[in-house]
Amino acid sequence: MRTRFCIYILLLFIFSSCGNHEPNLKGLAAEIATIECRAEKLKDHRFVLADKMRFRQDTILQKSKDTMELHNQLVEMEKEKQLLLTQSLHLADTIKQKMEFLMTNYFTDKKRENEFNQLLKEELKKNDCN
Amino acid sequence: MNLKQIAPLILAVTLLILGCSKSDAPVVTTIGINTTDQYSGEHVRKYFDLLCTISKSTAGFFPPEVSRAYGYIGIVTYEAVVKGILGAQSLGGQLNGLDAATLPKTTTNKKYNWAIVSNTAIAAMIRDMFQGKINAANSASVDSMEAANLASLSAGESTEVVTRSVLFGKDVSAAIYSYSKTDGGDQAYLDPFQLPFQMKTDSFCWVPTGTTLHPVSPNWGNNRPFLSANIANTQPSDPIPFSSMPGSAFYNEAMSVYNQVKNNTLEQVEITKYWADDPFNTCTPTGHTFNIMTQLLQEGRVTLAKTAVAYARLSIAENDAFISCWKGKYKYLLIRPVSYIKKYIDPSFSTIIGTPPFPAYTSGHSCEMGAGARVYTSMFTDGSGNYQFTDYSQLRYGFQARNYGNFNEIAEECASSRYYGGLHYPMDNNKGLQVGRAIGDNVNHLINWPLNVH
Repeated sequence: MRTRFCIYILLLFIFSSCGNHEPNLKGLAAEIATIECRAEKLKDHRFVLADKMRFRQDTILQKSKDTMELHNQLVEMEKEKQLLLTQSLHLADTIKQKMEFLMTNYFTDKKRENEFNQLLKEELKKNDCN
Repeated sequence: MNLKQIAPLILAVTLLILGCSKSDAPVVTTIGINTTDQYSGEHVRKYFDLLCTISKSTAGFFPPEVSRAYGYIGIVTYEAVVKGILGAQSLGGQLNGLDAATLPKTTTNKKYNWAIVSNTAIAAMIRDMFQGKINAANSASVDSMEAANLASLSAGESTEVVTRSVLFGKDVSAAIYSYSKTDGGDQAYLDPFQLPFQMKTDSFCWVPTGTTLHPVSPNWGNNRPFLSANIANTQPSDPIPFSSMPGSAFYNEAMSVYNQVKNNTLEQVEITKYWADDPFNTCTPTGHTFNIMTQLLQEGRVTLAKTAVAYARLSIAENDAFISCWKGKYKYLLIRPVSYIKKYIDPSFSTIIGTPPFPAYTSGHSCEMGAGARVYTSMFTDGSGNYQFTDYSQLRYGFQARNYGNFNEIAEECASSRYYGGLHYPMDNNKGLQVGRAIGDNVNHLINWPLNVH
């Protein structure tokens, strides 16, 4: 009788630990939202920098101003661009790995995917990323 | 403790092991029965993901050159495994200029590991497609991916089968690479501006829109397509006749772009940037379209068979969409909206993002995604295009995921993004989508694809 009781307790323990293998979706969404927020800021920065470079290049083409100063600015911006790219690509790899994990282990149906998307949206809003 | 007492425990632990195992466990080879649908397509998806990284970081790879690289890598993926797909027919004899007799044969009654064949063939083809410019880091990534895949895919396989499969993969790749050399685009990345090229100087003609003074790949439209019909039957009708006269149909097209850019919503600006991918670092529209395909294949947890068919279809569609689109661009040489608007409407006009260096009519994004959406529709729906899809491919670059209920919505949004950005007239997008859709339909219907791949 005591043995059987022990077996049932053991079974209960095993089943509950199996359930714990499910990822903590809210935690994952919060984690991804934090890095995604940084990625969004870097993306915005890349587009702003691209615009600045474009306008300087246009001005140089039109030869409407002293172009030496603009050339110097472009050299500095090129350095900034490389730095931004390095940071952005590093972050992109991290986000990609996390999404791969989610898609392989959690997105087994659309319902779960939608659940994650909703949580991610909420977390991004919380981080003031929208 | 007797057997009766521990029986529930044994039963429960067995159920527990079965219940806890992942439903998407990789498909593995069954010795003795080796069809392509018994392998996972995961290693192929990884290569196509790597391909995006390589495309964006290799000099000379503009949109047409990227579409061609993806094109031949998709073809090699399919040809590497086609003999393991039940009822499938090789592309030899089906594609323009690909003679079936030039493709390697398998040895009858000998086993091939199709995952290993494709691993070798794809890695070799990537090296061939980028060989002149690939950087050391990307080259090392291809080598290490190939070695890691080979190690895992060889588990439980005899040395004889592994060797035979590797050799066959190399032969397939060599045959397809040899085929690629005669299409007119071989190593085009070494000379993407195809100089000397003399742009006409009429008022309707393209003029530089930035620091790149020559238009990209002016002779691309003369390349050999995979399907002749993709050029012969898809060329757009003439654009609205050029005019600088206020109130003319052409002026109104430009005015429409002008007003759109001035009144864009925040959402429209975001859509513009989303489909432009990145100002510094993009694997071009083709790369984005393939990234969507990779996600679809991952979501569907499909086998190597369906993976190969899907990539091959998209490869043909993308390669030919760019050839057809470029043929039109350099036939009509049409001035970009930004140049027209600055000259005839408002000299201070500025687009949302930079305008790429080639003529306007028709839009490359519209052509390629029009074609891509048709392939998605054919592969993943009953023909309606209805599919609840969240595109995560840009999340990693700081864009929020976007949701769609139909693949056609993706194509429409991608095309519209070029209008919101001020890069294309409405007619460029409308005609571009028509061109692309016709090409996608040709790819789906003019090639004998295997049915019921999963």
